[in-house]
Amino acid sequence: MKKGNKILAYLLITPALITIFSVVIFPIIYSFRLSFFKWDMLKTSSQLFVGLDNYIKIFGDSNFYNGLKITIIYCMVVVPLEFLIGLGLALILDNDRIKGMRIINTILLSPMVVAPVAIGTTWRMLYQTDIGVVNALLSIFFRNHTLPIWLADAKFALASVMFVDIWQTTPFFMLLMIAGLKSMPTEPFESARVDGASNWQCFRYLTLNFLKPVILIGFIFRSVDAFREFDKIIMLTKGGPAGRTENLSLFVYRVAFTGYHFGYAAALSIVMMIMSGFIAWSFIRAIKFNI
Amino acid sequence: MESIFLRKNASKNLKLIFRYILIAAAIFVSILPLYWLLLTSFKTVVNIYQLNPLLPTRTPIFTNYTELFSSKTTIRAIFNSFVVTIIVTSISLVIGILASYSIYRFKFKGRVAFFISLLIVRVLPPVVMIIPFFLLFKYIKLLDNIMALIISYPFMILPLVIWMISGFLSDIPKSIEESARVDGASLFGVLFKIIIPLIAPGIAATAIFSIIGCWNEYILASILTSSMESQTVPIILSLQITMWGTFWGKICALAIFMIIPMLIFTFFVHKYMARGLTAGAVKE
Repeated sequence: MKKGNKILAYLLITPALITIFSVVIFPIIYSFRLSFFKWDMLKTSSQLFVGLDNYIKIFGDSNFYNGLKITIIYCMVVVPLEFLIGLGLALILDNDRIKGMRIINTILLSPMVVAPVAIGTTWRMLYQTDIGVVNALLSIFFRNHTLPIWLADAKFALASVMFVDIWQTTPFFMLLMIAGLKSMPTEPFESARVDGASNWQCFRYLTLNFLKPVILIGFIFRSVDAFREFDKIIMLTKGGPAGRTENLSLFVYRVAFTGYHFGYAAALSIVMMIMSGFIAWSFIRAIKFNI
Repeated sequence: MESIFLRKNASKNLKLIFRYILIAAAIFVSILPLYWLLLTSFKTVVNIYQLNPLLPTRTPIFTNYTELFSSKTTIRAIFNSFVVTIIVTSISLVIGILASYSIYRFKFKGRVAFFISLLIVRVLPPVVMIIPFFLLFKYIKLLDNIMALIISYPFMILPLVIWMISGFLSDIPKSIEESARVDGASLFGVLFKIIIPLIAPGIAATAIFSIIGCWNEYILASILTSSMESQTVPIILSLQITMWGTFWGKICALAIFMIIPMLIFTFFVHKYMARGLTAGAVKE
């Protein structure tokens, strides 16, 4: 590379570097520093150096474990279910004789682009007992049962929230699987047929194998999003009832902007950041870079 | 012979009908909440409580919409959302295209490190940024100012833009770019006259992703804004919940207003959506 070119290359990328540094790296460094201080912003403006106290506090905080538990359950339930339903839909749609694919696709994908805030608000109304649609529909089938107050019931709140997530983001997996199915070669299937393989065998040993990389990508992307889910839950339940739907994001938000314990919240942020770092790491190992 | 053929055809048709039934069920579930939202936005409070929630009213009203658009707060929020979305998207696109082109063209050392750092930024939960952003903007006195949103949103948007544009660039055969350079076109000449026109649809799709991201953003706006001076549409929508039970129709109207433009965009970019949502990841 010529020297002039080299300078130009760096010049072109400088604005991006400056932006990333000032809106990401610098704030993170600031958070990191803050995590060693005790600072209750409402009470005092002075920060007190406490060393690792904030981090030690995390490991004895039952709210943190609750948040972690909710986050893990949330990821473990919604991601596989979205995958299974998405794959099912993709297999149904994967047929040349189906007409109107463009419009069907647009409709099925629509929940995905709707603002999570709007989705949370809408579903909160749908789950209402007096005017909501959910119980109105269910009462057709369960005439003589008392139906739960979904979001306020400790037993059902988390499941109700997860259902909304599944409703919104299953199309994501569907989309990926359709793309995956489209790019599959046909020859292996033809020769498998000749060898007398059943539909199930074809699916199990060929289709799933070809889809593997796409499935992996889907799982990683969805896990990242499920891990940091915030908007829908805050609209639906605000973390209630009694913390039953409070994942780590909501917990950090509450510590920071309800209690104004900035030092502790900063330490929690750093811990969450490290966790997302692990997800990023699995990412880097799983995919190839195309640059 | 003929009868066997017919029977086979019939079973094929039956299977197709079965597929259509399942598709119809999926469409029903996908669209039901949005359909209800639309219906309810034309109902009075009395209607909402008295009528079947899934049936349209015989006397639709438009006051939910007219009241919404005569409210100063809402108009201002729409304006704020609009300005933030346009500015953040334009700036991120310019910065992102330059950076992606630099990576594509020069293959300099450190580009993998750069990409990995972008990836780490992409997976960061936004909640971890709220404290530093809040304190930073408090310090430079930009709280409750849309400038705070304009400065902070690229944190989410820029990595997405660079990943997507880099993906589209990698589809361009290197030879096209090289032959243009041999013909003596300058670096920016190649960029503007050859590269950008080639990836124009990709840039459009990227822009739409950025628009959707900014338009829908909630968590940062919820801590950086506090009055109609800077509040965006998602914030106004979330605040309606505190007036629970009174303005159902209005909430629905606002949600519909927020959703419709994004749905129209989806129609145009759904081909690129898989690409955008998994930008940077490549199938082996």
